[in-house]
Amino acid sequence: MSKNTILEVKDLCKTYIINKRQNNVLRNVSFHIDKGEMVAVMGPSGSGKSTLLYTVSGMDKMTAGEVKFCGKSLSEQNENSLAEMRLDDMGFIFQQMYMMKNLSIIDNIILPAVKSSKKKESRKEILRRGQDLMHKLGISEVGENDINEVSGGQLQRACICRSMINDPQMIFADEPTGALNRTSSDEVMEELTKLNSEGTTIMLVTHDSKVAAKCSRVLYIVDGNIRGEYNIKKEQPLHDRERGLNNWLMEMGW
Amino acid sequence: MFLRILKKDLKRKKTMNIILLLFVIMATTFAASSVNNIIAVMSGLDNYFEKANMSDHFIISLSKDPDAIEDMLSQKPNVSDFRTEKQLVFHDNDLTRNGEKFSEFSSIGLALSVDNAQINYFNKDNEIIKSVPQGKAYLTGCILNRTHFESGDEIQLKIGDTELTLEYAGIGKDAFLGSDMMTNPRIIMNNEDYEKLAADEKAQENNSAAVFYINGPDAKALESDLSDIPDTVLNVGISVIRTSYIMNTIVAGLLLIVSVCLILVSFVMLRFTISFTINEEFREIGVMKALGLKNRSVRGLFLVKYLGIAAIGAVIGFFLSIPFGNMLLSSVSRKMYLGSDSSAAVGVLCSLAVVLVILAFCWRCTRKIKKLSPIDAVRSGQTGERFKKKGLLRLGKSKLGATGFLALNDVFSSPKQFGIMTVIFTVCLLLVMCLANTGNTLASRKLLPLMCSTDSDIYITDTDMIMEVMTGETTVTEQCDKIEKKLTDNGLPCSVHAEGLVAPTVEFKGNKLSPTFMYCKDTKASEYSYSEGYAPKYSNEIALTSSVAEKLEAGIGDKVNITIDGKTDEYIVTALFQSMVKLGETGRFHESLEVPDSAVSQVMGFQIDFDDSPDEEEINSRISRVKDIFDTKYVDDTDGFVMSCIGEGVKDTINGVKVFVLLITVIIVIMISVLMERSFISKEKPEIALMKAMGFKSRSVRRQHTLRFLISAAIAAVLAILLSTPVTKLCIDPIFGIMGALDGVEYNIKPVEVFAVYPVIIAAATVLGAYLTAMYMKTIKASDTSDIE
Repeated sequence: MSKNTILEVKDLCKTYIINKRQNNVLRNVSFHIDKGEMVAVMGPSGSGKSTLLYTVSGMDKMTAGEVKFCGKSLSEQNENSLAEMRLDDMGFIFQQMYMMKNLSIIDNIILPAVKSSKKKESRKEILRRGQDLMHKLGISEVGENDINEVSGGQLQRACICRSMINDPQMIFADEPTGALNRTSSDEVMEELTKLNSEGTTIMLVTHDSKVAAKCSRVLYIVDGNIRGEYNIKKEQPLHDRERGLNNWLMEMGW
Repeated sequence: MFLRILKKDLKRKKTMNIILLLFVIMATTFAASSVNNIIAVMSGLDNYFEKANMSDHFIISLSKDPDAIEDMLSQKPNVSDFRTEKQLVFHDNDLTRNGEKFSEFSSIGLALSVDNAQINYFNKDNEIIKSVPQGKAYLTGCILNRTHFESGDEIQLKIGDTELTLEYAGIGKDAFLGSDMMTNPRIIMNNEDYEKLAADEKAQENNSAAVFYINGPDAKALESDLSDIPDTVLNVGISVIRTSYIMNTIVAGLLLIVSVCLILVSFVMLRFTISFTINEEFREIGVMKALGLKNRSVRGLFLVKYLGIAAIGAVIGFFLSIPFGNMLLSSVSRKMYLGSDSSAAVGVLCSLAVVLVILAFCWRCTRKIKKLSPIDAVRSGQTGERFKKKGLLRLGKSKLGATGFLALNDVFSSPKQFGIMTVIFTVCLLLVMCLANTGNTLASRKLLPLMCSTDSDIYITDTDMIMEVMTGETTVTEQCDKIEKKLTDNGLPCSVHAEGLVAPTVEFKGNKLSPTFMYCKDTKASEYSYSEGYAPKYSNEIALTSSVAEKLEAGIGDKVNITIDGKTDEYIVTALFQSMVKLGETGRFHESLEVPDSAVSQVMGFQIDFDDSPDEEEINSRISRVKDIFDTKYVDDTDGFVMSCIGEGVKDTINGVKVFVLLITVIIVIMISVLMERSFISKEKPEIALMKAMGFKSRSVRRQHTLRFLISAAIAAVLAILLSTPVTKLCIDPIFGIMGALDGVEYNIKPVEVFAVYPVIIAAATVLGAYLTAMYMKTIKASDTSDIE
């Protein structure tokens, strides 16, 4: 593992037992992600993409293997320290834009910062940081709104703000544009790309090659195994990147 | 397909369906048992008296010639028929267990043969006592207060020179003398045992008595007619006996209030749960409509589901209601027959009613299905309340931590949900507080004016000393002087006086009564409280209670004729007052009236006023000394004296009900907390998973959920504290009014007990129920955010 490696996964296995039947969702998955990378995980439905994301982020327990996040082995952490890790060092963006129903947009965004003891800040300072993030992502006008008073795109951008509020080491995104229309998807990806260019490491799961083409690397997973890795040349125009990726995916059997 | 959808629904939503089933069981149990209890209580006394074959009027006579009394009764124009029960008198000294006196009662006890019973007596199972095995006996009335008997225990009864050992056969329910306020216990025995005692020569001379059960068409005329029967210890109409059950009736009335509250609580919870579960299923409704199912079919699906759950719950609840109802009733029916002959039918009807109510709730809640389009329903299913504003508080402006803020915000954002819980907790608390206030007031000096006594330092209520006056062994004055001298000789200089009870005949405008008059030559009539008029100033002036004045049809300024010891004089009524002595059938003479000692039939107790006016602490220490000096435990301060006047059984009954109701409310509160929290977890699964994903620890989320319940309980506590005094006055004043306190009473509220202990108990129960249930959140993982639809 190099100094730049933020996430290292070795021989990761995840098995579910449903109705006494064993289902090996992940089989000996190994890869690593360096600081500043934006990595997409693609694969057909049921290939284990989301399971991979939740397992490497500590949200779900692995059956076997090793996952190291910022040098710390996740299997050696108890539930409380995993929770602390998720709060202080990780950010999450979900497909369904889950927010707390009884809080306003701004309150949802600053909630992790209020809970965290990573920074010794006053409530005012936390609020200001939240507002700055909202301004950065172009949603400062909806801060006082309830979650059902904004569009899907605005809500997802609010989720991005929430994931960033504690300056995490890495963001995990599960189909961040899955529930959005094309325009909103482009807006959200633009923001994520911007964050990545500013140094935030991102691992995202997607089935959309247009989204994946904006990343620096794509992992292709089938039946719980990583079948291939594709490095995207960022200097190429987007259109060429997309075409290259699509060709590669077709070779992979997509 | 319909059935398949139903089967899947029942399986998938197992948790909420089970919660609903439990609420249905609770509602049916409470409804069926409570309605049965309400019927039993409301028809209670009438039913009891009818079953006991009671008469219109009652006389206990100590005449050695009961036949002469019978002749007199036969000649009374207003007497239609009468029955005679021959009895033998005994005192508390005559009844021992293992050689020691075990019960204290200031009046006489009566022993009778079961073969000669003229009314029906009941055992603990409410069966008529038709026979008693030789060597055994049933005990009734105040003999059972503060004593614990088990089947097989033996007592010794000595009448005259004959002593019998009798085995305790069980409790006897005596409609005539069995209430908490009557002080004449009875022993029902086998005829052979009775004859042994009756054959004793000394018993024939000194212990003969008879109880006459008399019927007549006109109660008032009958009372007037019978006022001159000689050698009577008790001579009262059935209305007085009915009033003597006031404490039992109060307790039964409180049970009624508890029952009504239980019904309300269970139906409120049911309504909430049904509405909650149907709202959660909006999306499913939308999908079904989009697939082409008609409104009727969709609605029918819910009705069938809820009918099934309701039917199962109602059946279980019906069977549970039987022991539950009996348990509630047993707390008040130890000494009286309380029950309903049609309890099973009522239970079935209530269970059916619960099922119908559930269907009605369900029908009402599913009304919306007709108005919604499939898209509306699907969209509504996404958030449940798409266009309603939420979130009154702001995290950015709050000083609370994340957990505390989220808890408070949740409560204010769902006022209906938490409001229902708060109201239920408040009602539960108010119930307990009212009972506590009533019990504390019954045992406090605030009722002293109603006991027709002045405030003294210490009161001696030893029955031996009182009996010496009653039997004529000594006079009131002599007894007071004796006590005063003994205390002074022991270094406690004081003055002693006693309230004497005189039983003259009063007549006005043809109305005759035999109320009890209070008389004390050592106090002034002006020292007592009066509700109307002015205190008697001269020897020919009297005060009456309102109920006596009403019966005589006399008012302030009227002149009534009073006969004391055969001498009749005219007296002016100058005042009306309130009294709980002899159930409000009282009057007061002026202190300057010369009442012969022979006319004083009883004293309330001996009141001691120390010359040095000691403080409360000193009084308490002197109570122990006085107990030692007179070798008696019946020495009290003012609070204790009031309690002894009311009756220890009354206090025990009220306290028993208070503890019982507290237990029931704690169980209800825990149940509601458990079931509500379980529903919340089910409903808020996405948010719980999200919080865990964000990095909230399990214990933080648990704390947040528990805190919500604590906030509800705290609001309930504040509301209950504010409302406890007015609600107590509203509910309990009428009850004290029936006992004679027509203008209400000043309640003795113990702030620590009422405002701290009970709210803390209820809050603790709530928190316990919620916290233990919140442990279930362990099963929700952060990765469950991916499973939520």
